[in-house]
Amino acid sequence: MSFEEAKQFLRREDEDGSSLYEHLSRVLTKIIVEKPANANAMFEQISQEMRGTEFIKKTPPAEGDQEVVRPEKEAQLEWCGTISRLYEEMEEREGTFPDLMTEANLYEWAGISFGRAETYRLYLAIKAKALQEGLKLRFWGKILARSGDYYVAQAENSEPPSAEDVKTIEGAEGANKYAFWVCKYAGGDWTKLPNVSPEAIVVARQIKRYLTGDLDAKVPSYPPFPGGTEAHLVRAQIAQITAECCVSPAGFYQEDDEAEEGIKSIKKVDEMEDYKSMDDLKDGSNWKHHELPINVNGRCNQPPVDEEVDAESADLPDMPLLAPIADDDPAWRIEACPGGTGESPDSAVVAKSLKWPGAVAAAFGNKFVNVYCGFGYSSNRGTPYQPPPIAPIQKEWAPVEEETDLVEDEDKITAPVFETEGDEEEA
Amino acid sequence: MDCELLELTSCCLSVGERAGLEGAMLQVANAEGLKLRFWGRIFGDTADYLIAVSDEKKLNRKFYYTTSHKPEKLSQMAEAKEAEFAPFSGDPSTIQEDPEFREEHRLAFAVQKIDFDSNIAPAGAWLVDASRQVVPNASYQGLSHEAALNLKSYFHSREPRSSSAKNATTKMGLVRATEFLDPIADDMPKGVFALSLTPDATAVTLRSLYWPGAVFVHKINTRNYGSFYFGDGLPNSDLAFML
Repeated sequence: MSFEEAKQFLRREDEDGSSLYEHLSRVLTKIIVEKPANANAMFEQISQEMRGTEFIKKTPPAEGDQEVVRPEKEAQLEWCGTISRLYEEMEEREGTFPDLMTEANLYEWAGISFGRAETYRLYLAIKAKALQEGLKLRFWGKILARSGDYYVAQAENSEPPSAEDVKTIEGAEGANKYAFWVCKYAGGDWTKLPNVSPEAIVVARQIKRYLTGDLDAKVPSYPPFPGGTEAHLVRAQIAQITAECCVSPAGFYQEDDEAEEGIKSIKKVDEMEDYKSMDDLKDGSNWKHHELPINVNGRCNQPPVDEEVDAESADLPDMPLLAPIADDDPAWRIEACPGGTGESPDSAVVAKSLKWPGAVAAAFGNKFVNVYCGFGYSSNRGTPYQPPPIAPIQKEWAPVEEETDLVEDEDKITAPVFETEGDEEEA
Repeated sequence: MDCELLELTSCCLSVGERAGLEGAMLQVANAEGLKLRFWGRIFGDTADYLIAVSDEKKLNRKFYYTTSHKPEKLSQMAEAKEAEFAPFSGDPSTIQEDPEFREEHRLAFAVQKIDFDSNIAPAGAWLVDASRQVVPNASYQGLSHEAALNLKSYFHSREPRSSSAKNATTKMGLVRATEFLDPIADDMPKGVFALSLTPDATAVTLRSLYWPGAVFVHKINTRNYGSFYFGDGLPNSDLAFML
């Protein structure tokens, strides 16, 4: 067999119109073009790969041909659109927004980073929201959920629930002091979360769930969650984290003496004179909680007590305001950043909550930040979650002794009224 | 250390940690003749453990660790000793039960467990070559958008446990990319992995809900992927209540 004959044999086309010669030349071309390190070992794999692609005839799309649909195209273009809208000039109202790029440097020391570009987009998104609606926004943090996360921004609540019935709902001086907005990604729409109720906080403490990432999702739980949707649950978790993890170096906040009698309130000190040094801040007793603590009933302030009627309900002890974080259990982890050999008087000090993993506070000089990045539930430090026991079955109804025997009501019979057409017209 | 991938996890190393760890990883890589990659961080009450893993061609790997106070020196992970999961203190020499059982042994055990359950590779990243060895795919191009959104495209990057995957490498003929590793889609309970697309639709994140903090990220249509862990080293035993 001459060389030409052998070549002819290899070139013989099978039923599909392809030949071994063609296949081998494709495989060898791929190997020579891509030069994989272990071409010998990979030969079969490459050959198999080429078999899969060989029969797709690559012809350039003719005019009028439908473009190949790329499923990601639509999602990507939509994202590009929202990002470019972040750069648009807009009508501005008075508002404040955080210096997120500087804050992000502190987050990074605490191990939290969304990436620099994403942080900048988030900064633009918060700024736009603050200036459009005249809000004083603060970046609260990020809550991880099963399908996409929530970014959370915080401002004073301009629509607190009415405190008409102080016994059930606290007005602005409580967990509803702030309002919160969430968005799914920097540039996405901000959704305002509903106000939180004391019952929601009480139930949220008894349940433990992953968030789904959909604010309208139902929250199936025992005990039933008041409000019922994930938006309410997110809000209740935010209320707890805000109350327990917003901490700052001592001296930034003080008790508000001007608040109404019986109402506890904390306000920011107008002019601060001396700031805690880096060494002071390494001690947990120099960090204070600066939000109102929420008690077991889900409230920050006790309901007013009518002393003549129920003297017992005043039993709940007042929770201390501006308590040092050194008293918390589990405690906080505090360290200088940079620490160790890199430590300097200008180092920032970072405090991380061990109870709410992902909640951190950082302070340096005359600044401090609080941020959260986590799944939105507290750590039980290795002990398994115990769902609350099912309530006991209610007792059968039994007549009290003094009561007389049951008397059945006489049937109430209502005679049917026949309406005639004429009646209707009169009416 | 791949910062582009780490960004997608919302977690990071601080500048101080990265500066030290880069040196420490290069040192180990040269001394041991390995390729190292950053594996993750386990939070302790006083310091964190930073962990690196050798990126060998086979599925068995070697772990190295250090604490966040001393990021410039990695030591090889101690022998794993089974223990109850409990929060870590951050000091590897903390004695657990007897002087021979220290926190470093417990750490090794936790890392082994986490790695077993949540070290993930996308379909096609590994392949079985002609000599029946599992090797990385040199010409890997990543998952397509459609495949990336399907949980069935992800596999445990370790020695398989299921008999069908074990048998795949011994049978005759070509072994497909989806045959010789355990698919994560079979993990119980259903929903233990949460797959989501990033808002810009260019990458996916896959979070383990049993090991909160374990996250796999993949840039779609590229060979860029990685598994990381940023957590307290405790399994979520409450998962059944939480889904």
